[in-house]
Amino acid sequence: MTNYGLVIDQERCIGCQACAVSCKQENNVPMGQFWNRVLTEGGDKLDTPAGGYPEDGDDGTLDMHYQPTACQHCENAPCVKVCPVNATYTRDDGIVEIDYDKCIGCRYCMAACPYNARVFNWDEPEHVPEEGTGDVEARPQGVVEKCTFCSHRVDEGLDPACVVNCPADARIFGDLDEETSTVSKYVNNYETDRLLEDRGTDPKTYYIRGEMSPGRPQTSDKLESELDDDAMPGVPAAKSGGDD
Amino acid sequence: MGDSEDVGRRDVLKAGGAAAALGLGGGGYLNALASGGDGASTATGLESFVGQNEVTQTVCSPNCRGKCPIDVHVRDGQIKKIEPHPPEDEQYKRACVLGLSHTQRVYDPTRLKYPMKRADWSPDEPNPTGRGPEAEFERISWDEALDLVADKMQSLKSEYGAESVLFHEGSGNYGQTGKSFKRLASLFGATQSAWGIDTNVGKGFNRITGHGAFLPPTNESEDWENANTIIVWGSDIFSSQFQMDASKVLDAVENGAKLVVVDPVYTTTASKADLWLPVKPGKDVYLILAMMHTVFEEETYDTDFLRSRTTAPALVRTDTGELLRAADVSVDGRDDQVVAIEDGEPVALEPETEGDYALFGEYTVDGVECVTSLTKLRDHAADHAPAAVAEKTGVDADNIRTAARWLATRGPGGIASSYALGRYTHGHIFGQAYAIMLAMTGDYGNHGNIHAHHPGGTTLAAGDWAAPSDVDPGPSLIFPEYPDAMIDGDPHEIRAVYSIESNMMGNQFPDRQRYQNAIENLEMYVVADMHHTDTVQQADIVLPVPHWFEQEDIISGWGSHPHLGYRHRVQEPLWETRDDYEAIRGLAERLGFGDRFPETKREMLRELASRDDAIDFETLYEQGTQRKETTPVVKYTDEFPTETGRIELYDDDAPSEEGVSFELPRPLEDRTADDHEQADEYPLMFMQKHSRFRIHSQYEMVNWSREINPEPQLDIHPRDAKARGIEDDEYVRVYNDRGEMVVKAKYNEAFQPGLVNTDQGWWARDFVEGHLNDLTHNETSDVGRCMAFYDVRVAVEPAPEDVDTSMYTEGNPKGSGAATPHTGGD
Amino acid sequence: MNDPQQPTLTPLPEWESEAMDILDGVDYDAELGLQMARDAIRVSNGELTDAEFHEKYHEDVLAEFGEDNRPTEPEGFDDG
Ligand code: SF4
Ligand code: SF4
Ligand code: SF4
Repeated sequence: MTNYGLVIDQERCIGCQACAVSCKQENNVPMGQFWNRVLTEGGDKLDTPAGGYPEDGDDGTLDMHYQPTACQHCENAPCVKVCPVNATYTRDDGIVEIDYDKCIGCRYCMAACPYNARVFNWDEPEHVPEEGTGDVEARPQGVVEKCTFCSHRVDEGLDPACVVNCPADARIFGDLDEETSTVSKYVNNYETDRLLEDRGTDPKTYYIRGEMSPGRPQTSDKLESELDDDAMPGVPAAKSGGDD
Repeated sequence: MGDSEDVGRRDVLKAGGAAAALGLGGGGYLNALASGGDGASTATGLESFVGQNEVTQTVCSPNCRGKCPIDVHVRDGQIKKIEPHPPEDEQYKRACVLGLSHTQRVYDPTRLKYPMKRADWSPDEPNPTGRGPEAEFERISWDEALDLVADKMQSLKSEYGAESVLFHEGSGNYGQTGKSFKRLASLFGATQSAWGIDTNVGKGFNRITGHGAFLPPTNESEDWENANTIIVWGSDIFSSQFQMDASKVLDAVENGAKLVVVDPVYTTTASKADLWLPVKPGKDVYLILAMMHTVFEEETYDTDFLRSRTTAPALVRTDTGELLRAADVSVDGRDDQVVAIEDGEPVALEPETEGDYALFGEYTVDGVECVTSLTKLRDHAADHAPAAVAEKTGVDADNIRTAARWLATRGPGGIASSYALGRYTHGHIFGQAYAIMLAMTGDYGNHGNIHAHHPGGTTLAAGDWAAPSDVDPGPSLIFPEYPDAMIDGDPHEIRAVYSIESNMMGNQFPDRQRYQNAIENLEMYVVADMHHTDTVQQADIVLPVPHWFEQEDIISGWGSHPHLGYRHRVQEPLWETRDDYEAIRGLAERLGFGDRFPETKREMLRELASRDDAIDFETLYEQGTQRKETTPVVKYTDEFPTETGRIELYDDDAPSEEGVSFELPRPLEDRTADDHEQADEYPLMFMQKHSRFRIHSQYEMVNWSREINPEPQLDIHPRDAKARGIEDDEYVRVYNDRGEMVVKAKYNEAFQPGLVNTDQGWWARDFVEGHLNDLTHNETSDVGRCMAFYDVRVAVEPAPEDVDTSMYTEGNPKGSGAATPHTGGD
Repeated sequence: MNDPQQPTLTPLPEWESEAMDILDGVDYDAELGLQMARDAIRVSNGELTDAEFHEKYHEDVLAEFGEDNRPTEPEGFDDG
């Protein structure tokens, strides 16, 4: 079976917002809404650290990381369980998405999602430019929407837009059930966390913290499974672990 | 309740039919994605358009370090999205959040649509006071515009000389148009602009090594992963400079390189560092001298390198302080050769020559007492031991030693020096200092050496196109000299300006009020731009330029990557916009130089490309990018272009400033000095960082990034804020003796107490009051002659109660930009 | 709705008030949504089974929405 997941290497992420914006562009996300936000783990505001500035030549305690956050595509997705009309559902490949024809806008799923990953189109969605952007049709007023792992791209053999557009190679997408995939190797070989693990949602988004990985080992926009081996130059054998 | 019939239900109406047919002919740059959907609804009930777009490869090229080849997707005649397109050498795939947002920029209401004339301007009655925020414009035809400009240029030429017309070129685009602009200026004899920003550090470096204009050349970024120590000095490279290609630097770190960041601000880059040195503004020379001290003390300098490629062994006369010349004494050699001691005997130093030269010591040659250059340097560094400068610089002595040790002992590495250092008045001294530091550690000419915070990249070699060898070009003025020339006629009078690719005079230059006064003295101000900027608002004649996607060009990879890129047209120029080249050629015709300019831009590009043997027009055109193989990946492998052919450690011909002479890098500060006369009145240093949301003032209008970064702010340490009674998110007045601005305070622990910041690139319309460049000054140092934007003092207080902040507080929740632009083009 | 500047995820104690805001003015039973949301997390946590969850809310969902198409329905569930 295919089970798609995302690894985000926070040691690589530079908080550049390219993933946040290219998500909006690709998915025609209305102004004022974000499917994917680059949160700052640090101070109270975007791009501010926690801790204190060094005093009298000491090293200080400042610390800052970026945590890009979208739908975590939970294995045990509470949003799916509460949807009375089965508009939110889990695909065979593990992607959690919404059938907008079925969505009645009850927002129970939003209340159930612990990750603040869903947005509701309160008003007539506004797009700049008006005609909309990207490669997928806009959603109407009155429905809930969220990250789909760019399922419309995945279905055509392409990586999600946020992954392709990350200049730090910090986002790696692939099949967690395929043990030779880069995502599987990184989950096995690096220290990873998942958000709010105590809630048992079993998210399929993993965050690397600690040792930096080599990141996304390709320049192509294709899914890793669509590439020949020699198009994957970046995974050094020693780090990739793989089938051991 | 419970009626689910229609509440919030999806509107059954599906968006229009299938997308436009594919298959526009053309070169390989035009391609639709091979496979693709058929427009059928997916399980989500939405139509997918993957594979249905017409895709054109083109290039994004503001003055960043990107020059990113990108794919532009068009459907139904509308630009839908941007994606990076891997260039010929795919490892240079790149793009940033800004380039990815052209989808919005290209249709933004700030775009200029038609040629315009200021309503109350005429060639004979320029009404200069009519310029400014209230100015109104009327639409004119292109012919009318070009006739007006050409006639006025001619009449000024006959009355005041051709040099009374200034051709000002900014950095807003990296195509070939600027060369034609300069060509016309040369033919006409106009004054031409010379760079007065970010040249400071390079000047110091150049004096020592013979290399460098802006920042010196550095190894191409593909080589950075070979570095074992990277000291990023004064630059947030992950927000600006390397944000589009961050993977290269990260790969180096992942490979085990030590990343050291020297910065008063805990930046994104500092957050990734193994070691962060929170230096106080303006104290960088003290810090690097202390690092030299460590290298001397621990004797970790690269003896072989110092002997073979530098003047470290060259003797300096104790009596005059000058270098001993071979011709001065009985040594075989010339007057331009310096002398070293080898096996106790004086010998003339040849470039690139190894020898067992004495590096230290006092020697007497033909009765002349001397010491070696390296001894001089060691003695100078002796006054700056880490412990001695720790307090002054704010950096812990052990950390200084660690950084020096890593650089000297961990193999190849370097210092990614920045433009920010040159934004302090005497920044050239740092350029000199780190050139020497890297000579001590032998970090030139190897894989893994780094000398600047952006790579070298490549340019198109177009020979004498800009300055034809058969004509005598007019004089040039560096930017900071403009106001004196316009106001006082010093060094000569400027009565008209033609400006392209620049929002400097109205927005980006320091001491903005002074530039506005200067503009008031002009009889004609012609501004060509894509958007209605603050500079355009000052203009008499406005020439609307098409968006890059509506132009064709060859894009230079300067400072970026070793490719040239072909900018293909994605769509026809919107409205009546016209490429700058067409305007330049139109003027040339009217001024009698029409035959010196090919009829179309394509022909011009072909002509220029033919002058560069390393590339080929057809390949470039078809592939969209071509790697210029003549661009070396590793720099400084050859003899240094100095008098001695070596890095000149001790400069006996050094300039001086304020009584300080720079034979060796001697610290000198301007407003950062602790005892500066304004230190009490204006206690805070003020910088204007480059953020990830701007390339200078470009992309100000992008709605997507305005959602994340809606308004200008003042980064201030909470302690500094609280001492002034300033709450977080409160509006503050920032002021000094030149001007003021009102912006929102942002408590930010990342900022050193005593230092505040507003990111640069906001337009006047974005400020509640004033402008950040109302605070900066236009004074330069004698040697650097470079605008010192960060060497500025300010005071901060809560904004007055009655200040009107409704533009943000009653807001614009959807982030669609601030107020509407000034009188638009329509 | 979701602020790009919000630096962290909402901590649990504040989640409930956020969920109330989300459901404020909804055309369906907000209280039911809140309870179901809370229990859905308990299902994820393993404190409640899918079947228990389904059963617990089946009547209410049916009454409120006129249908209950949740995927939690156990095999052979009698939705009479
Ligand atoms: S993150 Fe939220 S929306 Fe996404 S699957 Fe998990 S619960 Fe559902
Ligand atoms: S694009 Fe990559 S580096 Fe930039 S914020 Fe997103 S994950 Fe981080
Ligand atoms: S703005 Fe610069 S870095 Fe960003 S995409 Fe354009 S060229 Fe690349």
